[in-house]
Amino acid sequence: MIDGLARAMLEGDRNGDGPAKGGDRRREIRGMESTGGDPTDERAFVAALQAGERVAFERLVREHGARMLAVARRMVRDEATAQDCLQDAFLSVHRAIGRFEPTGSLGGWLHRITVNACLMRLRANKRLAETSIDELLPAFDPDGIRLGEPRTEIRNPEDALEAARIRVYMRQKIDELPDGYRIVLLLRDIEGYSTREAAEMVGVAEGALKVRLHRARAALKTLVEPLWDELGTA
Amino acid sequence: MITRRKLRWRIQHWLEARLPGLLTCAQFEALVDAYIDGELGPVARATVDFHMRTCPVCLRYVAAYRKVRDMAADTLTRPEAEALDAIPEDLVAAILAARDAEAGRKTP
Ligand SMILES: [Zn+2]
Repeated sequence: MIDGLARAMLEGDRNGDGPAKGGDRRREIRGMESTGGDPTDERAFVAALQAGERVAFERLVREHGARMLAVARRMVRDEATAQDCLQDAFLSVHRAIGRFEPTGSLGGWLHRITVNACLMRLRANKRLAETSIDELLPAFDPDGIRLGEPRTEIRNPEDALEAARIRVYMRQKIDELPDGYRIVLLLRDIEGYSTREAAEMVGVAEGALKVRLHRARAALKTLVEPLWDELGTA
Repeated sequence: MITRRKLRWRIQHWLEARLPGLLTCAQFEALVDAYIDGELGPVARATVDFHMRTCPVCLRYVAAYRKVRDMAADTLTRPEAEALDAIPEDLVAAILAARDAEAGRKTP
């Protein structure tokens, strides 16, 4: 998919004239920043968790559960499964808390456990199986020229109601992507993981992950194209 | 039916596809993610920029591509703010029960 010249340019740039800077959208793992509390307090809290104190565990569920549930709701399509994933995640937390390094971010650790719990469920449902999305990808003629017309630019929603309607529509379209692509899009563009981290979580090579992210974004763009006809400014 | 304007693009594109150092749209496509994610080095970025200056189809394509990526992020992260205070009580109870069962199994 990435052809020779483009690859050579990418690699030439990486090796030669300056480092490929981590993008303008690098961000913290979403909503999983440290609770902002006193670090010594967090250390004591982790120690209590590691000692198996039930009160500490309940506090963990109440303080972090909502954020983790929000992650699960993004990853799976229905509420019941999201709640099951959250249960799985907290069982993993219970089993693994002894291995948690108190120097690390508790929020980041919980986020990753939640994502992994969701991936396990999705895999168990065989929903990560590859489905072709070729017909949603851009097309080129034999000379490598893009087929199709330039589209008008999309305008911003006029009011909150329209914005909300668009979000519902977007969510539907994201959910239409086959899971193998949808998950990659979520991990990279929404959950804030790097290519390397996302590749590790999904269990594919980094190059394969990049290709999948590209296909996911391109397919989603095609899926939401009716919005352009509706919202495009002439 | 092919308009004059379309014909002009076609010719321009055809030439560009054959000039060394310039990208075809297909080669451009392979660089799109690295471009919008800010991961291209200066040379590759300049080449991509140049293609967009001469190719209105790709210029609009990238704008839409980037917009969809941003809209997806906005869509999926918005409900999070509302969800932060709300973890259902019965779910908390179920989680704690599962934890207790597990703890009980380990240390009888
Ligand atoms: Zn082009």
